Amino acid sequence: MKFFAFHLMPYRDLPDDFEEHHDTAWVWVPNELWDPEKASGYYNEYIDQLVYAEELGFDGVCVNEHHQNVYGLMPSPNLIAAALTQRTQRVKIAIVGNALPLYDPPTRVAEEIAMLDNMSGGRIIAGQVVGGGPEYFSFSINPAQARSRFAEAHELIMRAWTQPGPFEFYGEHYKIRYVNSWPRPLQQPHPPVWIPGVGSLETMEFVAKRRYAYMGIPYFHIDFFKKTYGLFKQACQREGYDAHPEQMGLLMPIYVGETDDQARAEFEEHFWYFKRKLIPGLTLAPPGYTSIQSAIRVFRSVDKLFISGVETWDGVERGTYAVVGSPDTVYEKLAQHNQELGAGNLLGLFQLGNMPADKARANMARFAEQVMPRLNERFPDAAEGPPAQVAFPDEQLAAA
Amino acid sequence: MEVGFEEIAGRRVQVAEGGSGPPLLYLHSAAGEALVWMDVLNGLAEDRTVVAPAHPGFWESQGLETIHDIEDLVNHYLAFMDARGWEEVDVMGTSLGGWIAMELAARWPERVGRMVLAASVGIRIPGVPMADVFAMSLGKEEDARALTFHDPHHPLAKMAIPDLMSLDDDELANFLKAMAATAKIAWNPYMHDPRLESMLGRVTADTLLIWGRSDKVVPVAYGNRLAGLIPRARLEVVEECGHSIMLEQPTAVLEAARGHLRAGAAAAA
Repeated sequence: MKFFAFHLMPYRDLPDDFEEHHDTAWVWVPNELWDPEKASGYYNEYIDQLVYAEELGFDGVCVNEHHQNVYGLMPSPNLIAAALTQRTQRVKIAIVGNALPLYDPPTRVAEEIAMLDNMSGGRIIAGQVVGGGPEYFSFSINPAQARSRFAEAHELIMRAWTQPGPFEFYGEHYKIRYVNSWPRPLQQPHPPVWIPGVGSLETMEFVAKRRYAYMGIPYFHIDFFKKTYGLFKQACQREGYDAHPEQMGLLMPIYVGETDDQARAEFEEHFWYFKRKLIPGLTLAPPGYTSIQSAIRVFRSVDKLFISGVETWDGVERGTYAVVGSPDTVYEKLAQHNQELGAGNLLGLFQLGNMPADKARANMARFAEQVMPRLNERFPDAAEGPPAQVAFPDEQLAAA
Repeated sequence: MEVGFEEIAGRRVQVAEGGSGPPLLYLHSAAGEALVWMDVLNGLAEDRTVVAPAHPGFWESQGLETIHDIEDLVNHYLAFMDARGWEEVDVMGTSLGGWIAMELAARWPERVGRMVLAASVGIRIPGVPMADVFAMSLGKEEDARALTFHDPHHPLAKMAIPDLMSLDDDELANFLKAMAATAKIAWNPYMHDPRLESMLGRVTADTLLIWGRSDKVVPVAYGNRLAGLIPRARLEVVEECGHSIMLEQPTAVLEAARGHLRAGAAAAA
């Protein structure tokens, strides 16, 4: 099994009564709340935590992109990744991902990822996402074009990495006469691609067909993930192969304490800060952002199966919205769930909400020392690596 | 009123039609009210054949994938008029529909007879923001009613904006489709076409603008502005009325619209 430390880089110093005055953590949350004194140290502190993950033996670190919100302060994950290329030597740096429709032209992503791949000695994982619903408000990008922009930008980026330039690209959204990306990535033909998804079949089929890796968007009830990963495995089977464990990433808030009671006592307040202050507004689904069918499915499940509907610690435990406990408990819960899920990449959120650095680091250390080795034993890496990714499956078929 | 399907420019569209007399093309708002019909359309249908198509993407109307901006919608309705054999027709449009009507009348003045625009979007006045109707979300239905009605407890407010959780899948799908089809045209630039203002001087149609005094989505300043930009236009403001003008004050809207359209018929006779 491969272990990644994922960081959202949240805003930690919201006032206690924030949720009484603000019903969203996104788009419209007033940036006057940003306290320059308190917040200026966040980035370096959070980067230190990711560097610490390398010291502790993690296989990789993950960053992601969000805009105009208090949940995650990385409008440019590539900037953080650039810092990480200079502070780490070994770990994979997974950017999960760049929100492609927010870049115009998206060749910018091809260029920046190629730079990072060279700067890191070929350690970049290139996540690509549609971008969250709130970001379509923040960027005024038309959400009715979200899927078609993503598909087109994806194609453009993959061509920029793999096809000799200069060439002309004429799509519906992007029309570029000379695509000729300098630099090219170090990893050939291109850095591995991960695609996060909420559970729509269209995304799973897109990933399965190209043999990319799929990562479930977190904060849903564990049953939701079990269903999602089942559907992804089926999608791979329809493409004629069994999903490789490393084609699946499981992202979870994790907290390891000395004992179950201590773990909960240390962790719970940060969970509620996260859930009550940082999550509201995340599910904002602008019109046309997904197919009508998907929109109805998400709409119906938000109350029952999403973190926003959880009000009690018992509910947190039952839905496994976070894996919390002693080393034994955390190991057993993760082993039990992953037996069914079959993920080969475990992505842990070890700092959540307003958790301070000392707690986050102690959590990571306990996980690395007392949980990781046992999970590794329980879920050994497959003899063969994941299948080669195929950016243009239809063209390959045509050539054959 | 009867609902049927027609093939327009390769798109299968749903059309509500009722009444008798010379045709009146009704272009609906983002609420898709054409197929609900309403008191106002019923009243107009007394001496007009009211033809109210659902825009592509609304209800069962197909073909949204080839509609990318307001100009595509104008061309769609030109094709509709051609299919009906209308050289010139009177047009009434509400909100989003008013925008389409203005674009049509500015680009093809000879094809539009008399025009009624109710609470229309289409232009932007710096410093007078329109409300963001796309930000409406689950659990915020009360806010949306307060935004679109002068009196949020008006008997029809809950019909216009129901509690989303109470909808069945078909009703929810219709709501989501209407919002998605509107977003495709009106997300950015928000609810307007920066070119329209400079084209409105070409409109030759006698135009009645009807506005709710308490419109918080498109403030009445927009009505005033349009009355100044469209050469033969006058503005009628309805008291105790918000943006959902067709539902909140149907009698006042009907009387004003009917008076304006009948004046045209009288002149023609």
